[in-house]
Amino acid sequence: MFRLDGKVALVTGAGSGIGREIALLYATQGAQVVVADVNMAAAGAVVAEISGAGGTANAQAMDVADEAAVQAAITATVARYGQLNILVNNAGISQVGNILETSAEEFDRVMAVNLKGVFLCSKYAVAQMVAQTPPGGVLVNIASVAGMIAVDRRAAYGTSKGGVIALTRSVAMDFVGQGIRANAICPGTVHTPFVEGFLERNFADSKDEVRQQLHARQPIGRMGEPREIASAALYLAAEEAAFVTGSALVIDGGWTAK
Amino acid sequence: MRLQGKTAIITGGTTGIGRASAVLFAREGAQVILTDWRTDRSSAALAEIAAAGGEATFVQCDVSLRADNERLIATCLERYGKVDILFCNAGRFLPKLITECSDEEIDTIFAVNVKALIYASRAAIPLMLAQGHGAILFDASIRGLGAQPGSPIYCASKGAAVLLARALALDYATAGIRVNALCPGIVDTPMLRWGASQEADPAAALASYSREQPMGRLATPEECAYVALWLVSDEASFITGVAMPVDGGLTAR
Repeated sequence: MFRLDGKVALVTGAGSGIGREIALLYATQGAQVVVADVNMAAAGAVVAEISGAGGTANAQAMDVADEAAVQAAITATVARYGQLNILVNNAGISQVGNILETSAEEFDRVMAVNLKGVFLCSKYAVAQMVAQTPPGGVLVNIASVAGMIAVDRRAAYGTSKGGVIALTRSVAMDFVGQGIRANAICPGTVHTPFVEGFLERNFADSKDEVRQQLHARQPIGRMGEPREIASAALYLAAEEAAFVTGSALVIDGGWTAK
Repeated sequence: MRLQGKTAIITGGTTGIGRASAVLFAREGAQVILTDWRTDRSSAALAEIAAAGGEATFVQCDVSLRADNERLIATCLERYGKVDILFCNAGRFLPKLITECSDEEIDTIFAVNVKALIYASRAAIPLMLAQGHGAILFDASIRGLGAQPGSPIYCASKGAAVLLARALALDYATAGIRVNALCPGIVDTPMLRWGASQEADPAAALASYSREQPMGRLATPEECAYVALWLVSDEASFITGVAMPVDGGLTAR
């Protein structure tokens, strides 16, 4: 159940955090995994971990904001494995600031990675998937609850994630007749290096206090763990989720239940 | 065996989504109690579970009655010592305009689709609090998220089910109890086929349901059961207070 045997999955930003957890889990469930990241050292470490456990994976240098790099990565994946069945759009960058605190350049940078990156990866993956025999495939897009509700001082980040949710639904509906499923996962706050990096960059002097606030913000009383997101990414990619498409699955310890 | 060592109560577990869920949960190691207000429909589900090597028992329960819900929870406690999973799946459809509904029909829909969830949860939650854990799932509907023509009382009842799940999730989030709502789209079940039979041209109605789905087909009860399994399993440990559609894209447009 929830196996991915015979499937080829490309996970962006798989060198750390949620992406790494997804790559590891997919591999244990039988998928051949392309561990894509801008950080090749991190990607290599994940590949080593997968291989050490008997799985199949390779490291792929990939800046999702770079169209040529995205196209090359999809091409390389098909050349290596013959097909692409699952794309996990997980790569993303954080941002703190209300609209006055956000420069135009910062806005563009956040959009380039978080939204246009999802657009580019999806575009080339879907083109490959509909041309395969048999046609079809699955997209799992890591959005955020910040794309659904306003989170303080996340103007550009929230906007990018809202766009990811809309793009997910658009791809899902435009290609529903061609065997493509696309769903978004909307995590609340998940305890990952991404969050630790955010704390370091923005609250270096009060990290412990702010971390505790992040824990307390969830009704469940704690941040999520990457494996709690990875298990959803596995379910959504599996055949058992055949009737699930165009949805935004919220995994947030009750944050948006209000 | 995702539910090894767990006990699971599934109301309306003899047909449709409830039956598919009972079979799946039992195959995944749960000790299942399945219910029906009728006593003449349980043998097929029980046989299917037994053939798969699972364990299940039938308890007659009219979910519209408070006392029956309390008896159901008590039976699970008595038989298995705990209530790990409560799947309030039993539901009723009412394809009538508001001016066509009798007082009795309105009361019945709210009793089966809403109050039953309240009574069962109210009885189960104290046990789950003492256990320090529990997973509650309501089988609501996409009609609890957005309406459809021709069944306003049904839609209202499903909206109530969704918000009840979200409210209970908040109240018990730190107590180890998760509460979520499953929102199936149009699923090929006896209830759907009954709904079609109420239309002027049942065959045409059934065909139109498929066309309404972007995928061009109805969901199977098993596809809904898999989501239910996943939502009540420990792998969904950070998921609470959500309404998850299983609808082939119906609510995406």
